[in-house]
Amino acid sequence: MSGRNLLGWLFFFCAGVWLQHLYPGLDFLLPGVLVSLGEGRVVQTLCVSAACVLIQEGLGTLDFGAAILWYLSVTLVFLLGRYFFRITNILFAILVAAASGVTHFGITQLMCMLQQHSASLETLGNESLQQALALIVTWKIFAFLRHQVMPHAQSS
Amino acid sequence: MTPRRLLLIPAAALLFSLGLYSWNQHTDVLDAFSASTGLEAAGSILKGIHAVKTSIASTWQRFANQSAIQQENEKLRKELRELSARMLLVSEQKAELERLRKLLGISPPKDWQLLGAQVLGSRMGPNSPFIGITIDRGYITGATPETPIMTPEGIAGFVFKAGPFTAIALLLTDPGVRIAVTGEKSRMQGILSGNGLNKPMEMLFVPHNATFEVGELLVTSGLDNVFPKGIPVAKIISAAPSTLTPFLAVQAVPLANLTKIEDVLLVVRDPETLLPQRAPQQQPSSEAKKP
Repeated sequence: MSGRNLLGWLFFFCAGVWLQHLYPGLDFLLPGVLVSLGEGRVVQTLCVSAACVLIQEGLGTLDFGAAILWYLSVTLVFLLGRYFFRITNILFAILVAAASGVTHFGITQLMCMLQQHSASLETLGNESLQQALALIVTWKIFAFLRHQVMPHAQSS
Repeated sequence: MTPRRLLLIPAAALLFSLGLYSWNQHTDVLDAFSASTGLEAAGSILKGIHAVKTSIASTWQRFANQSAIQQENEKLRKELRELSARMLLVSEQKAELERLRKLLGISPPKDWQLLGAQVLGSRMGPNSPFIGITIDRGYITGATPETPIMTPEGIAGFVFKAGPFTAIALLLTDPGVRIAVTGEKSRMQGILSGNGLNKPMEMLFVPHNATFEVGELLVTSGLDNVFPKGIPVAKIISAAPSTLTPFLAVQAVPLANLTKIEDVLLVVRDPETLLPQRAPQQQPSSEAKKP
């Protein structure tokens, strides 16, 4: 991983954490995993995913496991969707974003039940919808910025 | 990739995450690790950004003042504007000073100490459905799990999870929070439970024949062995017999303004009076613990 790449990711994580501070309940680190998956760099994707999972689990109040399950689900949808769409296709982005919203709702609800805690369904539903919408926007913006900064990091 | 392999991947992933979840339930290793790494990293980023933000705001304010001063040619006016600008800065500092003085003015309960902490943000990320805040103290700097937090008005919640220098605290309004309380005048005891943001709290297990006045203060009873006795928590807004249960339906609102918290006080038990079973490494089973 080059110094420029590392700096880029550092900036991404700082911006992501700050956005999460501004918009409670939303994940702004997931676009990083998706962009990295699109670049097809396995080691980089594993490192970025591990960092994202640790940050989300550290910041979270749910028991450890929810972030892993969620990131795995979205990654799976991404890998399956790649068979049918090009990564740059907006329908693909909508599919992954919708899947992220639905899985966020399901997994949070499941983890709350396991912890015998009642999360507000209304809040959770709103946040899942916002998550789906935010993911499309942030994913596209981050992919564009990444392409500007590192043009050789092509999407497969 | 064959369809069989495509099916195997999610199955293996599910088993892997369930395995991790179960193992962590027994050992808490992953929770502790993520708090020490992820929470701490995010806390450091937030602290850094807060510092940069404060520095930019103060530089910008100085620049704005200077450009305003340049529009005035007369020396006296320039001085006056400078002083006015300083006054603006000082008024913010004064407000902060007053807030901190108010916090310092509170005397801690016997055998307990007070530690100030700054709120870095509210709940963050998709894994935080509980109502909480992030503070700039961790287990090394006094915020061990289950440490009560308060504002000058009263109890605000307790520390839920702690990294070395950053911690997450749950607020009273979270549905999972329970505190043992007693009426200040009636001395009737019960368990105060959160009902969600902007919703009144509920006092559970109050006998049908109990007499509560609207406006009566509820203070901590100390029976949960988490909160010190006698600290104000909430004010009763309604008390009426319930038609569904043999208990009185008592509703209360927190005294602390939980939507505008900037600084909090950690109520830390004096280390010399720590009972052996209350050592910070252990996970006590108290009423205040999240279910």
